[in-house]
Amino acid sequence: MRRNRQRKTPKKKAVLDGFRWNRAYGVLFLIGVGFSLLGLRALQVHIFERAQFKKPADRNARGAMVFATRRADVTDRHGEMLATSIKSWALVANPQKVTDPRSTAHLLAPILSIDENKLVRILRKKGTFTFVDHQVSDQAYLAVTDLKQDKRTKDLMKGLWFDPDYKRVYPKRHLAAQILGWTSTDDRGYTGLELGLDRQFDKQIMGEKTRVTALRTGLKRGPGASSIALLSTVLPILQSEPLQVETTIDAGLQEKVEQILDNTVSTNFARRGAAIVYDVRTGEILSFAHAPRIDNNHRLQAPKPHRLPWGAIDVFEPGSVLKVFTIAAALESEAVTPETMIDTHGGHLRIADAQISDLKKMKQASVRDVLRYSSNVGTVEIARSTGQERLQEILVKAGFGQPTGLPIPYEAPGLAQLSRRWDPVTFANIAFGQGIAVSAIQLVRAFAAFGNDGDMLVPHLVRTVRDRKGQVVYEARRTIAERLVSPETAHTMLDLLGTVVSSGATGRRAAIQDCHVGGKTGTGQQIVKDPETGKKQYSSEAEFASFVGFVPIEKPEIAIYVVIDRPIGEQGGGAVAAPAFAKIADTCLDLLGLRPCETAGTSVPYRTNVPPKIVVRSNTPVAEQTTAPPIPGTIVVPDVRGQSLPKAAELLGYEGLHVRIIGTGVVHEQRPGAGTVVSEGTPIQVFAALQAEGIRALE
Amino acid sequence: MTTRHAKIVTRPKALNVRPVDPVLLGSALLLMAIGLVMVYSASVHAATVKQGSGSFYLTRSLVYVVLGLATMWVTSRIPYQKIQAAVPLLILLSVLLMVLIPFFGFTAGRSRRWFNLGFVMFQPSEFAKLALVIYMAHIAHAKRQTLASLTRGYLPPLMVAGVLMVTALMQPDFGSAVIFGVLVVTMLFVAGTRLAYVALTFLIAVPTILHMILHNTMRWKRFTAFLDPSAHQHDAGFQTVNSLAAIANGGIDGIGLGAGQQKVGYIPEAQTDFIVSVIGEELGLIGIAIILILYAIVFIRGLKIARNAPDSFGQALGFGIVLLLAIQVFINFGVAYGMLPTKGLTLPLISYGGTSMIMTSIAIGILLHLSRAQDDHRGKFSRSAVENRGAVPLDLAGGTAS
Repeated sequence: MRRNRQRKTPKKKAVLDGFRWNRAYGVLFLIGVGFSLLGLRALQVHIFERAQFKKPADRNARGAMVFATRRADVTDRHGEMLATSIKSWALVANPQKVTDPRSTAHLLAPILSIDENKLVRILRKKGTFTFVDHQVSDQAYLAVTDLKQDKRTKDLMKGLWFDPDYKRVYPKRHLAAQILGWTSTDDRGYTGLELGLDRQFDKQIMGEKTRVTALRTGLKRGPGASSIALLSTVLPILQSEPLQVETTIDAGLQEKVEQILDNTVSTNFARRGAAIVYDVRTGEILSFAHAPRIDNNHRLQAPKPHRLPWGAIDVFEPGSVLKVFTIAAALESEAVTPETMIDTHGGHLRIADAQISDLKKMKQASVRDVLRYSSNVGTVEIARSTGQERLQEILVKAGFGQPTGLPIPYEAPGLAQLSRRWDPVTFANIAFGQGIAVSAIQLVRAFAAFGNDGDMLVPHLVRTVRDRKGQVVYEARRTIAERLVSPETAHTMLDLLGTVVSSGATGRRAAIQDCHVGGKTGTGQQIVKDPETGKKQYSSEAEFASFVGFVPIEKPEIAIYVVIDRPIGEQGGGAVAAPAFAKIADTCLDLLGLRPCETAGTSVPYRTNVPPKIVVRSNTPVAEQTTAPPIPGTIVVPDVRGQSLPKAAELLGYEGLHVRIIGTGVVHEQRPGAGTVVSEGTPIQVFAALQAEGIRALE
Repeated sequence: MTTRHAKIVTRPKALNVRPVDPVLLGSALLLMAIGLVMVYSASVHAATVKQGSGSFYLTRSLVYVVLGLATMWVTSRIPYQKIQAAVPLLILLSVLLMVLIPFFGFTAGRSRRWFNLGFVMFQPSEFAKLALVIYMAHIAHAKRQTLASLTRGYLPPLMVAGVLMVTALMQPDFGSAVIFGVLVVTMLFVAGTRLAYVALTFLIAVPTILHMILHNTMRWKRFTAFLDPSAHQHDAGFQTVNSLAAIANGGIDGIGLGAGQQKVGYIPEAQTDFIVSVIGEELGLIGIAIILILYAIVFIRGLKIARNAPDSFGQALGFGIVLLLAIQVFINFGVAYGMLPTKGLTLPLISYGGTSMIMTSIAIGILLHLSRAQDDHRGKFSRSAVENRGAVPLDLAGGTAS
């Protein structure tokens, strides 16, 4: 059988084959030779001459990429977002690859709204990397992308590409706008706390650009035509949680204080106002308000003077408020007691060629009444009996003439002339608060010492700073800066200040129900230029009306300082500032949980871990409030579709919601959707895309 | 003998119940699966940048693979004798489509190679390659008596191929033209034509090809770039230099699936013509070797199937398909490894490309069908098949037809 088959096979082939397998094997042999050569070549490329062949790949891997690390988020003391950064694009250039800077600048200038000559200068820079524009708008991004793809213009766009960038957004708009300050276009601090943070903390963690070795792509155009960094390198940068800066500000309180201050400024036709709510026990600034208010997201629309935190960076003559320190110095030196009778000369006193007079004319008055009725003559007499050295000593200890060290740049030291001998007129003036200039924060800090057993604390605006892992890297500590007076003097001062807010006294309009407050009015005359003579002199009308006081007076928790610049109509701290103080004090009782007053000091909720959170949305226009939230503490999610990311973040942040951003450009979807009722702080996912891409993505 | 006879009698439907070759099918499916993964890896960056979705090519490739599997299954159930009946139709359709390309074709890059069918791009040259293989198998089988004749046997298929080559060159698609030429000459050679004709063809073809290279700027650039890629690394040699850089970067074990660097703009058409570069970079020599071994299994099983085909049409068809696949695989690898000038040919079963995927699937389907039609009982079945056709056995080696 087997033999049979063997014999048969060749014969059958001869009969059947129209196909020459011997020739086919010849062809297959050739193919085999080809594949063998391929195998040898593979060994050469993969192993033996690998280094030689892979050189271009190594070159390609040596690009560089610059990433903007996200700038720190700034929150209030309860975690309400005050400032955050939103991903955006920066237009960057390699000037060496820009062949015709003038033509390129001519194309870009109208898109970026940057002066053409300035662009030319940028594009002619030395080096291989420069930022052309930060936080490019979506329209500009698309327009430049089009130019890069257009055959006619793409050569001019060589060397230009987009890198990730961030845009600063202030979700609570006007809230603490002047204190927060703002950032420059490269996301670095420019004024206010934003700059202060940059100066106080490591620049690297505040949003410095990080350079990453990256893989250059071979693409010549399109959004991917830059570099690609290894994900393992970039993701930690892009995904890292931002630094968290928690300020001492209480957003809910700040909102109310700003409202009250704004009302006070406008009803008194005043130029501006400032108010500080200061924690007597810790030195924390709970509220630092400025009026008129400005929207921090559109701050350039506001007049320049309104943009500045003048309560920290401007000084003014405080007026009678300073009498507190004169009398404290006298008590401390035991020159007088509260009941010592002072000769007030019927309300008139002439020193050299200066005339000093009182509003309430008294023949003589006790120290208590001097403060109560704010007698200038009496204060001068008390100061004289104390002596200049003692007054200078307490003013130096109070820190007048020195910045307080808040992270607010350009803080004013003040004008105090505390190191030289005063002439009698200056001495008299300074005794009741003229001829000395202080800032609002200096004053409230020093004043608060009387509520803290005479110890003046270091003021704090930043509570904690957390790094990207959530670890606390900075924490404000209660620090005694100076012992201003002895505890006994401090207690006596509280007693005296309490009487100022009583019927018939100057500060009577500062009184509130439910709680006994105490404080001192101040009416500081302003030096103005006489329009006729051109001489600078004290004005009879322009004044700083102020009131500084404690809540509650028996055992102070907070100090409040209100100062109004140039009120018109009603004059004086007692008439203008004291009512604002009363309203703020009343608000503090509610918002800080100080009511009922008697138990104050034993349990203060806002210092514990469960603070009462107040959602700030009072400024939301009625039209935007579609439905009222059915339950307090819940929020109706606003519709942010179609909005730009910064706007969306602002709207959501304003409602007290957290925003999680996916993509960049214009919002096309949000989860949960608009109208959903959620609890406060719920994260809302917002999906954004550049307009053109958005449509593509939706398809 | 009697037992065998008995077997045939008791199993008259033997052809249809035999399972397909599992080794061939398995290898082909594995290559397709690897192809999907590598197409995604190679294209994800370009797709994200240009198409707005990283899975743009992956989803399409998935559709092609599914369509390919369907056609493979259908083809494996079509009796191959029926294919023979369709030969005139297939070859006429190929020629017609190739001729129509310059008029209605869709241009991409510098080439006009496709028909835009709206939902998909159809590449007639891919269709024509397989059609030519089937046609040549038909010639080898039905015209074997006349193959020794120059005018009646040798020239007609050469002319058909000539038309295809000329239309391919007009696209321009030099690679396909070369494949048409190599296919037709090789198939005529193995079918038993005279060696003198083949030699003569080479004598005419080689100077012609050289002339075409010398007188076409792009081809000349590519050719010189091929000879010295690094000197042309910013223009014509760009692809080769970067392809080799990618492969070398991969080394022995690769830099990891998905981690390739060169695919981000340095390897053009990374998901089609240069997918080998991406595989070489990400999976290294090991990955390349695995893929070559899988191809080798496909080829060897294919040849075995061809060898056992019941008649010369089946044998020639099987061999032709293996030849077609092997040439394409070799050229594709050769280009990626800088051994051949850049062409623009896909890697069968792996590269992204609808027409290529479906045509290759049909080719594999035919092989699978042939594997079902194995001539275990060669003597009886084959002889009867030949006798039924009334064909006269000829000793073609002798070249008696002249």
